Amino acid sequence: MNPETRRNRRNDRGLRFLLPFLTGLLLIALWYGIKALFNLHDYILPAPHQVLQAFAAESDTLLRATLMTFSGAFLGFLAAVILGAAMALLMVSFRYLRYSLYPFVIFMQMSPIIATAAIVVIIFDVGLQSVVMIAFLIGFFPIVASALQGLRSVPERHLELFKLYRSKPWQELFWLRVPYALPYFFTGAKIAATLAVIGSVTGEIFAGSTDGSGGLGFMIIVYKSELKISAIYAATLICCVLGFLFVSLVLYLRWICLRHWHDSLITAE
Amino acid sequence: MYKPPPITQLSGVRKRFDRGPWVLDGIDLQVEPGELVSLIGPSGCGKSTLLRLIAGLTQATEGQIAFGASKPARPEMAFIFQDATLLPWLSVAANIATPLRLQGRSREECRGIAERLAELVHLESVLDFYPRQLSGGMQMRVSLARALSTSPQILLMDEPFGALDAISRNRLNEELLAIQARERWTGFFVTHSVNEAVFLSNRIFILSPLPSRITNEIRIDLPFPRTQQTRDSRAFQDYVVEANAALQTVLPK
Ligand SMILES: Nc1ncnc2c1ncn2[C@@H]1O[C@H](COP(=O)(O)OP(=O)(O)OP(=O)(O)O)[C@@H](O)[C@H]1O
Ligand SMILES: [Mg+2]
Repeated sequence: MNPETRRNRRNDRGLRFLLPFLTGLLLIALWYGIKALFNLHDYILPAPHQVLQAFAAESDTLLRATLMTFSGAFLGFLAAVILGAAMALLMVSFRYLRYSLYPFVIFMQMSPIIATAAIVVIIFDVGLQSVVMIAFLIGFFPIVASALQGLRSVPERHLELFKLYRSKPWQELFWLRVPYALPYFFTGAKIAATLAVIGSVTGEIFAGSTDGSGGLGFMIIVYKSELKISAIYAATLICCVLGFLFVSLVLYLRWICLRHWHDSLITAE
Repeated sequence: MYKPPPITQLSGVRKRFDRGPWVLDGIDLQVEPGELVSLIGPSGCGKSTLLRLIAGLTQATEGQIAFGASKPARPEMAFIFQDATLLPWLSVAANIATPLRLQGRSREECRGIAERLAELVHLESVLDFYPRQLSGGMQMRVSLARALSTSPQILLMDEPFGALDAISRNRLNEELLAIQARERWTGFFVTHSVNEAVFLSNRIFILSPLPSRITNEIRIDLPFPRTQQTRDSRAFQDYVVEANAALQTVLPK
């Protein structure tokens, strides 16, 4: 980046907050406009303020459902990160294990999220356990695949350097392969974070209502049957916020780990 | 007068990769302790392969490589690659000390040695920088400092300054000789620049295209220390002409 573009980018800082804000206002205006123009009934398209009212009216239920979805998705995601990283380390260290499992890791990544979610809910029923399981299953395979790819694409020269100094296998793994693989790992973790909330909610929507108390997806089904349409919008918004939180968390950790050295994080200074 | 045994001796070394063509086809050479020798030859003639054989990064198909009188063990060696090969997640100090850390030395000891070496290659002000914050020439200096960290007896350099501009290259050449005069390692230097080879070397070996052999050996009797004056001297120019002529005879028409 040349100094001039860099200067321009810096002057843009105010605009970077102002413009999204204006876009938001514009979207809300558009929302009202469309509703009025096509004369849409509240059951089809509630107005923004009605969605806000729904937040207030359903706050207890929504909060409980949000906590359920959040803690479930978070636990599953955490498990996917820890076990996925561990599995990648094992697979890079033991090649027979890698030969045996690698095709299945790739294969499992191909499974459609909705199908995975549906199957899990059928087996485990609506509830925390299902949310955890879905978030885990959806996150685990991309994390293993991307971390393993990173661990295995260390440049030959770097490996030779370590070999020349008679490094021990653990030194090569933890001082060379692991740091090299971090950016790859975070790519996988970001995918896992995005899908964790989507997956859990999808699973519950698919399963439909049962007697138990479920997360946000479950509540969306309940609201639908109760014709509380603006509450569906409210729940959907919360899903977006949750997903956004998850991804932000990953991006923040990535920034912490890589800011000193990785090109993708070197912004204007 | 006592003559120490050659620190590196290659006899009848041949190398091919798997069932491929012969890359090195009978290399015999002896290098005395403290010598700096250059290898020049057309691209793809096996210069890097030869260095990697000496480093033990690949095995000779035939022939022997011996180090010192009777010691079976390899002497301490360091390798400088064409690109600096720094670890981007480590600071300059940590990069310099990587070989020492691999050998199990403590962090504090490493820091001390890194500081001393950084001074040697004029990097003391950027010890806590990361590689991406350095110019190409500075990165090469870090790579050089790292190679020197274990006090190697043999330093293998594969076109280390090939990517640098002429000014940085000349300066680094002079600094390299100054460091060598102090630390007395034995150097193998691969380059495509005849000027650089003449300036640095005690002897130049010229390799032919595949299957490669040493076709010429030119002894450079220019006095040390060598400086810009050396480059401007008549004797230097004569060596450059002689080496170029020898190189022309092996280049494919
Ligand atoms: N790992 C390898 N496997 C198979 N062939 C190889 C390998 N390494 C080198 N070669 C072959 O050996 C020959 C010599 O390669 P080498 O890299 O030693 O040449 P070089 O003299 O260093 O060339 P350059 O000046 O371009 O760096 C080439 O023909 C190359 O294709
Ligand atoms: Mg080469």
